[in-house]
Amino acid sequence: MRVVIAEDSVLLREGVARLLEDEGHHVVAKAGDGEELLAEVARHTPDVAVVDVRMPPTHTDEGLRAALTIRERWPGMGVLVLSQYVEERYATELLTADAGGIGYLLKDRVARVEEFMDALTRVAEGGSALDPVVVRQLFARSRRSDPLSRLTERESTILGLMAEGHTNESIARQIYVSNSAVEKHVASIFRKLELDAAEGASRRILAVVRYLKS
Amino acid sequence: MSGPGARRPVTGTLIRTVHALLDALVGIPALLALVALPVLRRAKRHRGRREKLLLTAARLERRRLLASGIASVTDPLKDIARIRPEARQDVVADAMDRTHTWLVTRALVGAPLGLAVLVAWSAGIALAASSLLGPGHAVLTEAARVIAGLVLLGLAPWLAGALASWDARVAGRLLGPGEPTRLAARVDALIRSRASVVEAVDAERRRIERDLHDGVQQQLVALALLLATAKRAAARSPATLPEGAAPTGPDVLPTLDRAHENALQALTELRDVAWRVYPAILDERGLDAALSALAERSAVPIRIDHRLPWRLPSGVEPVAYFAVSEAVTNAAKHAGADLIQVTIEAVGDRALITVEDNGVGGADPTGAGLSGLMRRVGAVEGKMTVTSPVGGPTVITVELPCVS
Repeated sequence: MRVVIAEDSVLLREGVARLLEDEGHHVVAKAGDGEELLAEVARHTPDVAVVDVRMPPTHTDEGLRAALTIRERWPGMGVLVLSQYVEERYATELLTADAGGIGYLLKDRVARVEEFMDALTRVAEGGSALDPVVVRQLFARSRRSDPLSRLTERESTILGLMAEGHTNESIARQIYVSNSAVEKHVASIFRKLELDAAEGASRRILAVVRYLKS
Repeated sequence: MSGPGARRPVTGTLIRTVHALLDALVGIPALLALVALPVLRRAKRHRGRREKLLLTAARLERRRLLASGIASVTDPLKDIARIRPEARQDVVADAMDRTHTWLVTRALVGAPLGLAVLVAWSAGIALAASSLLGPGHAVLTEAARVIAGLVLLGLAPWLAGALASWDARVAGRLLGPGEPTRLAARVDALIRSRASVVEAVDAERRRIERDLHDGVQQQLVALALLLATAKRAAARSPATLPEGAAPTGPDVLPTLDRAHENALQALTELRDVAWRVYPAILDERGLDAALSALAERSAVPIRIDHRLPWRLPSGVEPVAYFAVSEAVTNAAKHAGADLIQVTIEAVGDRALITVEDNGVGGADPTGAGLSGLMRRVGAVEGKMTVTSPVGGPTVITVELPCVS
């Protein structure tokens, strides 16, 4: 896939670029701030943009704002946002009406190469990825502890993986059960939480995150 | 006392003479008041009026001293609204007492002195002038009258000056801010500076946390990434090595693997340290969110009941967070608790935090953790209690003010 990287730390930018090139992807451009990123995205229309939240000039959330602009102008393009630490606000701002092709990961995750590549691929293909730490925090903060406690341990695990943006197939692979078993669990979870059985991993992540936050 | 008088002796003398005249005149109502006050003082219902009279007299006197350039005396009650409520009564009572003393002194000493100045002037002028008008009576010789007149005229300005400086001294001591006012101001200043030290510590913690995230974390991620890339490259078939590249021994892969694992562990630890230094979520999302995140990280289950209808002031919020975090650490480490209940509620305009565990009790409030916490709570004018009988449960309460 064709990737644009926006990251102001040269060390990290080159590291990620090298990794992606090694994995056989094509890094079409590297940017050091939000404006440069938008210019490069306009020039190359990549499959996915990897964006650091904090970049010059203010080092606050220009990466996030650039990511939101990309979502608006190029709706089909995948955006994977990297953040220094968990900020649910960022996650929820990114997960708007259509959660497809969006990812929010902690920067640490980049060093866990398999997880990072998995998330990046999912986002590039129109899926979603939410960092497990963000999901854990959403679970801890959820005021709906009663319905959540009705879930079995396995169902809780699956709900977490759903919130991270995994498809049924991917969940099945990770917890070593069959696809149909996952489907059965998912149906049971949606019934217990009284959620609309949303189609597809992208809509599902949105439904789950909304549920946990409300 | 110096001021205009020092530069223009004639004007100065004139001003001080007018001042002395007023002194003499002020003495009369003051004497009247002296008679009236004990009566008013006895009648409780007139207390308010008596106080008002005294304060008005004091205000007029301060204004008079300022107008004649003799002294500038600060009203002891000027900043009463800024003084802590519990100290206000002392300050007012002290001001009233001293104003009363001033009135007595004014009537008994000031008025006669003022009269003396006036007598010196008029007698001096009269004696000196009478010698010019013609031959005098037999009582005093003409020369004696002139000498007496000139002596009196020389004495009068000196007396007026002495009276003015006496007035300034008395007013400074009795009508200005007294010991309780100064004490209250000093206590207020100390409270503020103590709280600002705590705030400075928190600001420093925030800065360190940010530096850890922006500096060390980035470097570590890059390092771990490099190791991961090297690992993946080494894992590929040795045939893909570029020509002339050093042959990798069979043990390179596990070493790289361990190095990568270590770097990841360092990252996790760094995240933990940064969190313990200062939880960034606290500033962004408030106490409830930070405590939820704390609960999520804790090995011992924590139940949080956050019922504060408002957010704590920015200087107090970190104190509340670290209070809970320290209490929780204590419960997990020493009490062997397996459930910790944290309640935060509003009691009047204060926040009451209760941390209760089901552990074995016997917590030592003088231990490093709890006594440090107590100092921190005290620094923002909060109160903390530790109840921990042997056998448990341990209950720690922290009461924090919600106005900064």
